Amino acid sequence: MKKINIYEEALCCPTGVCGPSVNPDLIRLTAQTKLINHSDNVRVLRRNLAQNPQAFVREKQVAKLIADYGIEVLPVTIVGEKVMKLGGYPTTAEMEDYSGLTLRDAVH
Amino acid sequence: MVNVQNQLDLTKYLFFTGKGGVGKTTIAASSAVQLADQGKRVALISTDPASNLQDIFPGELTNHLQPVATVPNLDVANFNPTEAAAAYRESVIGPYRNVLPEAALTNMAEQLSGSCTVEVAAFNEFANMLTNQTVNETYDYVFFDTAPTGHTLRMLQLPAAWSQYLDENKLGTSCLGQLSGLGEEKERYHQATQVLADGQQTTLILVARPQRATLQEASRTVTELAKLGITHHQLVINGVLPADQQAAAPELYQQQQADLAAIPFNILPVAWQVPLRAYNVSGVPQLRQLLADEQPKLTQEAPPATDYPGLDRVVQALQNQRIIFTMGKGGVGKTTIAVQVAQQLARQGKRVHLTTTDPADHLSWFQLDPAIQVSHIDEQQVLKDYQETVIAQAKQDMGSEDVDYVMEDLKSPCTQEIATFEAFAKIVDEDDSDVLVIDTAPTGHTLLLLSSTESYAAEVKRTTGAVPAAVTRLLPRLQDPKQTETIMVTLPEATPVYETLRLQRDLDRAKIAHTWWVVNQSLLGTNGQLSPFLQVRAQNEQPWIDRVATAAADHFAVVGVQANFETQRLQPVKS
Repeated sequence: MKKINIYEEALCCPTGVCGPSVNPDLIRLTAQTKLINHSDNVRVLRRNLAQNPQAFVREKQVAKLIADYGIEVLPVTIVGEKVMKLGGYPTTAEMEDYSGLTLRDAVH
Repeated sequence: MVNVQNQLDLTKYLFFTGKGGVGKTTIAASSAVQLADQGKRVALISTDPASNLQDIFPGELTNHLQPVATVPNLDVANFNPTEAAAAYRESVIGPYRNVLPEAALTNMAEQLSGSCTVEVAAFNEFANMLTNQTVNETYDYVFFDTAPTGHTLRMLQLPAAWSQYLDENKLGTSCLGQLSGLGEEKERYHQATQVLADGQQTTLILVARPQRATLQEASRTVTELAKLGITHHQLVINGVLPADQQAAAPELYQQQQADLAAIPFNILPVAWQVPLRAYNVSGVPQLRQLLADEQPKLTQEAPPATDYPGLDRVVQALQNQRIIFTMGKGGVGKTTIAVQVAQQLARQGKRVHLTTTDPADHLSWFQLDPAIQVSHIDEQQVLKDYQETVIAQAKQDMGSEDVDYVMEDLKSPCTQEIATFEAFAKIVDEDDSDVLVIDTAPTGHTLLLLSSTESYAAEVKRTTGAVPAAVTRLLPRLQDPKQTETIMVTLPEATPVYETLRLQRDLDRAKIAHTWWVVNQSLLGTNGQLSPFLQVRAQNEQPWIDRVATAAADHFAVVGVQANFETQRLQPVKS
């Protein structure tokens, strides 16, 4: 099973609509996560600092990144063991790349 | 002696509600003491962060029920939801100190400092007490001296909102961080909700003053709670000037009688009228005295020589501000202060815009001068607008099933704050008047806005989302003392002064300038002739005004009682 781990800062809710602003990336990512997790061999796991701090302790790479660069380094995307993206959510193209699935048509 | 058992329809659980300063603590505590004196086992629990219970009862009160030395059969607890929320926050963050980087801890703390956590803490205490078998078996009566209305309403509304939220939120993450880790508490919350709505077990005691604003507030409370299935309530009017004392204050007497004749139907009948007393309740002896037939003889003393500064002084000092807030708990009359400030500024030839987020829409009661522009933020409407905007945006990216998912997040309690804040930011941004006077919602609610302001400050800097430009521009303006100032409105009594001291700390935290204090509805501030009865009351105000003078570093004003302010047309700016 391939794992796409996304480490996020503390958020109110997964879509971010109850935060100070609506983040379109988050709404898109929520939909894409759902889609990918319906597939057989890829899983997206979103870990939020407020609700799941233990995950940040376990993943030493993320803890070190925060210590070195501050909280701005989040969100961090790790595919398998490899850090793929810092400081921003993956684009649709990147999510396709990580997951090997076609997402564009399905989402729209 | 007035017998509480004849006045109130006593059930096991009694919740006292009403605007700050109406005397909830006094009525609840004196009733509890009397029942205890009659041999009943009574518990009295405060969940009001600004409670003055500690001043009334001897000994150090804690959040656990403990006996009162001078009142056998009575146990008292003073529960502070703010402290409980802080304790919860620490319990989450504590284990990660020195484990996660500092930046991560700060981010966690920020998210856990929302208003939700305080409300969850307060409700958690209610639920504990309502479902606790030992409490149920130990006590004949359990009195809750709840927080003032705005806050109370939310708390009482929450059980329904939460159980729905918990049922619907399949993902397990939500704004209610405390609950997401407490799935097993769901049953307890559900049980508590049922007890609340059961008229055989629970009575809501609406406490009001013989005064239009507080009676309207009680009426709204009843309407709101009826929607949640809580329908068993009784009305207590505190501070009624007795007919045989009407010569003492004819204007006050007439105003009270007129307002009592116009009580909204949905809260009638009046279960109990508690007479106005010439002393403040500051200990157990007065709690007992309050309900006694024999009242102490009034000793006539010369009225204290007072020469307190008036509101002109405040307006003078603030005349170059762009934004002026009037803040304070419901019932302190901040709307009347906002109206007077607006009126005085308009008289100086300024173009004045007066706006309110107060759900009560108090401004519509005043016959305001047409030269003043008035606007109102309708909180339910702005929430609806916000939800529709987000859904429209979501539909561009998502299928209908996923839109439902977003809709679920939009039902979270935080969304209301965000929506109100955005509407508020828009008004400030579009305003082109010389000065904007903002009569804000009651403190509990206002603070929700401010604490979200705080997290905005951190978020706005680097957010990737669509923060409205108005919001980005607002914060620096609010935090610039050259542009924005706050008038904190209070009353010359214990609870309102305590509440305002809390507000002062919270404004410090939000970095919003708050130089001025106004003591409203003061008898000492009337400068007129007072009857002996009112003189005694007036003298009792002095320590509280002194306390304000100290806290305000002398930046304060005292506004006298105006019996008919709301109905009197204010002086027009131009003839």
